[in-house]
Amino acid sequence: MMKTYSSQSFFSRNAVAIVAGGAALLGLLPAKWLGWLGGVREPVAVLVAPVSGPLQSLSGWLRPAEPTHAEAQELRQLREQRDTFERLYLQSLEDIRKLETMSADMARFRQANPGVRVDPLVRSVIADGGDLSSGIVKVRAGTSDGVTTGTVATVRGEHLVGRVVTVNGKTCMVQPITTKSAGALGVVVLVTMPGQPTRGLLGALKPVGDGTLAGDVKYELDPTTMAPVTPRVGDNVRLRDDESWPSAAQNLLVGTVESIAPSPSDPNRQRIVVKPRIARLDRVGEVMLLVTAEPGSVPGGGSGGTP
Amino acid sequence: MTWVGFALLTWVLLGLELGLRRMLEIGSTGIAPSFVFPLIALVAMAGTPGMVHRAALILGLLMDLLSPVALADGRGEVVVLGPCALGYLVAAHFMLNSRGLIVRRNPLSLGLMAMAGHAIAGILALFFLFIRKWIQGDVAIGAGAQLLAVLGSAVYTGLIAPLQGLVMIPLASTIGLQSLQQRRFARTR
Repeated sequence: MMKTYSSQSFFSRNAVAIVAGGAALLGLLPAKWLGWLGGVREPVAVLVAPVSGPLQSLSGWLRPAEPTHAEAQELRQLREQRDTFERLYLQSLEDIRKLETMSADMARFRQANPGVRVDPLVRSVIADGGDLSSGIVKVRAGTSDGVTTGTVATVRGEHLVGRVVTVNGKTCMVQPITTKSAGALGVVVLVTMPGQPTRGLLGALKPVGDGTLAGDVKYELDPTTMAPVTPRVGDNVRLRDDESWPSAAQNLLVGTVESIAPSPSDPNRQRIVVKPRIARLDRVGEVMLLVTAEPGSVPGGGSGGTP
Repeated sequence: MTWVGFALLTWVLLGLELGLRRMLEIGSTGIAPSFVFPLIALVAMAGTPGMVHRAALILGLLMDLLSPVALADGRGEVVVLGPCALGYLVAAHFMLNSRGLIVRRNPLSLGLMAMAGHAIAGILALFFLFIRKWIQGDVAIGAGAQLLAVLGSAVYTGLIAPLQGLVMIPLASTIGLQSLQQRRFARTR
């Protein structure tokens, strides 16, 4: 027998309204009383997962999550800060490396020249031979730093660059030894022969104008073999010129022997061409100035020692 | 209506709703189409009143379970029963009373009904949450942005629903909605 309207219970007639009202009342309860609904939600989510899961994966692949505008802005700011700090960090590392190198160079110079009273001063080059047609190098050091005319300029306290020709309060001009107007300089060629002690051959070099120096070396005989001591390609050439250069500059490296030929003026002598180890003395980035304790200025371009 | 067919269709559409929401959402606005609501519209266009109310209530409760509400101050989220359940119920009643004004077998009619019904359901759900916020003060609800999201979603649903209708209307018989099927010799109501 079909149920009539009157035979249906109150609840079956009003099931929808009762359930809706119950849900509404539940929806107004405090959140701490609704935690159990999470447990009801889980099975429903699991039931739907076979359809929603692959679609969510596909959505994520086709359209990766984008940050909100605020997140994007914050992310951009963080990236800019990171780039700034990265740059400062790398700069600091470079500064530390330079300071360590400077300190090592100064220590090495002092050790190599214990009797020489100089204050090594490392300064950067402001304008080099490319900017100044004369080949003169402008250095950021002046009289306020104790620099005077004739102060010797080196690279790391080892390689001779030249000397100061003019100086003012904050800057000075250094003339490299390879410039034509630099004049001659006395040198000693350290001739190394296998099985024999190193011999020094005195000579005088003049700048050629192409970055090298050339000149004749003294004729000497080996006392044991009575054979002439001849320089070889690659032999070191150091400054030995007490008359024109201060004591702090003596024995600084001038370069290495690049070629040897009989001297055109004296067949008994050898003419050598010396090339500095630094390709362009007028293009160095910084120099070490040997600031002497007493005024040791020597007239620039003085004649070199004669062999 | 056969409840097994209805359950199957509900399962598929809930999966589409949850799975495609992120892909179809417009930016971060919260405006996304509903795949479940056109089913309510379809049932409302063809079912008996009792059938329509029960279907709307069931779908509304399921959506409440699967769409937890964020709590204020970032404390997490909570499942709140009631907003979608009541909203869908009222919207279904509205669609039930409006179905005489439309051509039922037309997918565009389905889109129009879905858009209007979804807007009503969304506004009611939002109102319910505001009542809750007024009483409990714990849910994170903002008036302007969420109302825009609700209305935008309704329009979006109305645009998607005709496409769904092209598939669902022919399948109406599987869930026992006979009145949407063309009868050869009977008068159309």
